[in-house]
Amino acid sequence: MPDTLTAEREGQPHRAAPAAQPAAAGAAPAAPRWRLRAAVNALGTLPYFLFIGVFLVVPVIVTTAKAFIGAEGEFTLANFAALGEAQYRNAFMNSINLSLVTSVIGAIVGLVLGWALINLRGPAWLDRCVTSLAAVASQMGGPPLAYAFIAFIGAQGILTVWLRELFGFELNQVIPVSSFWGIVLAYLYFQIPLMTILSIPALQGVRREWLDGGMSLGAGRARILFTVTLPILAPSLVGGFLLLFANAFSGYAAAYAMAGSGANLVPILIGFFLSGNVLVNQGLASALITGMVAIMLVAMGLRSLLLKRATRWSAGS
Amino acid sequence: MTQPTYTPSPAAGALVDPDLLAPFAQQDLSAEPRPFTPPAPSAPLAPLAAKRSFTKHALPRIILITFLVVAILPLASVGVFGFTNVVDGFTIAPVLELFGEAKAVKAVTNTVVLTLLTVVIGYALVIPTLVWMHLRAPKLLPAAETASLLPYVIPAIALVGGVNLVLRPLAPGFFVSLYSLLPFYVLMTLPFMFRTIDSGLRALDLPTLMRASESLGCGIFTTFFRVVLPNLWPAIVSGSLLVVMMSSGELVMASLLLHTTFPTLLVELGQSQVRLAAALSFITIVGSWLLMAAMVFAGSRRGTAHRATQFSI
Repeated sequence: MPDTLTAEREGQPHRAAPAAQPAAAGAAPAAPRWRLRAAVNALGTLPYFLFIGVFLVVPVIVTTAKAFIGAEGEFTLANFAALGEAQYRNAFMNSINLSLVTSVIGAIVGLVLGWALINLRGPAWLDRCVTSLAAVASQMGGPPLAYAFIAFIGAQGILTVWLRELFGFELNQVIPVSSFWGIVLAYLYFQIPLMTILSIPALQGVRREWLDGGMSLGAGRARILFTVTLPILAPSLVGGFLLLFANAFSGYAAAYAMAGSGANLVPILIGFFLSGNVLVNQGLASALITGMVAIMLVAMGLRSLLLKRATRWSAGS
Repeated sequence: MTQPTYTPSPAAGALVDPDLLAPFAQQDLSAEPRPFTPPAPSAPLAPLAAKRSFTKHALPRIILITFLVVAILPLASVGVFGFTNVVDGFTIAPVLELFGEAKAVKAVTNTVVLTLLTVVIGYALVIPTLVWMHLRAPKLLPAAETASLLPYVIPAIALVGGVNLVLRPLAPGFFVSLYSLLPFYVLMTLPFMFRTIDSGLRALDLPTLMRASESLGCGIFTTFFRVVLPNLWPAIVSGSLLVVMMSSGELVMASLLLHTTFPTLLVELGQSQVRLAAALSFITIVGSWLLMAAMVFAGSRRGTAHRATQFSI
């Protein structure tokens, strides 16, 4: 990897290659050969870390720092204080509500589906259809999903028109497609299958011995479920829930296509600030982004802690 | 709810079947002075068994078929909605007409170019790095893996914010170009590319392969292209299908960095011609289903069918 050598000299020494400088300068003849070798080895990974650093870590860290800097370059918390204004507070509340509602419902229904998929003793086509539909649906979060729901329950949607003609029932007035609950329905469309896919490996780890062991001790099925199976599965299930939460919280495309900028959600608000070349208020946008990244970090950090716990029981499976 | 897989083993009947209980009863008698009594009385045997067989056999099917029907309804309606209109019923004329326009052709071309380049550049970054790390710097693998997961934690919208606030002022000219999206598309798909290649390499026993190849007189590049790469091919193929699906459907960065791709065209059409947007959505959904089917097929030959999404890591 010769290109890494030039990248190294451009003044971006990577922390993984601290020994490179003296070795390259030839200033340390006493340095053991293996240190030079280790430095070269670490150097080979530099393009990768540099890529992530330049295009992901640096922009996000600088943005976070900007949130704390005022107009004259002084340290300030004014940008975060501005997030307390009703509009921004509402956006965070809406986003958190949306994420909680869709991930609680999504986790429960998705788990039931996962259980059904594991316990299916039926036709193979059913398993295959459900698996592939779940795989596709869990990836849908973009405009196609939004238009699917507009076509389904929108003002001129198939179900809306059908209900209107048959029963005179105005679905569109009960759940407008651009409302909170309309977006909830669309989000559930990918949250439920996502939980199914996430829960299947955990459910496959359930051992028959737990049931046998519990029963031989005189416990009923319900008791075994609540005192053995669920506690063991809890880390992976809660981890799945947290991923669903983060997934809904960071979702932009579907909500944007369904409600335009009418939905007061954090990602939509950030998008509103960023669209166009001129930024209304850089500090405020930075604070919004920082708040969002903080919530994502908490959710995903908790998840990785839980996953470490979960692997305790699933080692080897 | 969560019950283990059912196999008609004696244990299920052992609660009540005296013949099967006999050995247990004897063991218990030897261990305890009290005679063993089965925990469940034998009276509700028949209804209980019927209930079990319902939960075991019928219930999963009912749940799954309900899911299929409910999940297909929006997809079917987007197809019906998109390809019909009040005047002439079923028609594909608007779609054909749209693809006659330069604007649509450009959006589709942009998406195709971006997607292909994302796959190529992503793997060109990930494969050599990972091969190098597995051979020369395995201690850095955990750090590299953690770094590869960062794009999951930093949402695309936050990343775009950072790009607009930090990187754009540094190189305004670069962000005018469509190709400025590439680094971010590679980042977005990085967690998945990293995982597939990493697990592919772990299954290979790379040092042995390298030594064997060296002992036969191959240089490091020959080994890489003629031994390592062909062995990774299945992982690359099934992985790149998901990368294609993700980057061809990406909206946030394309629209906020002001580029025209297929998803931004879709949203633009949605403002005025919802039915046309719906028709294109239907085509997209069918296309991604085909991609996913191809991926499950490619993956099942390697026995990793469950690695079916970016999140099952």
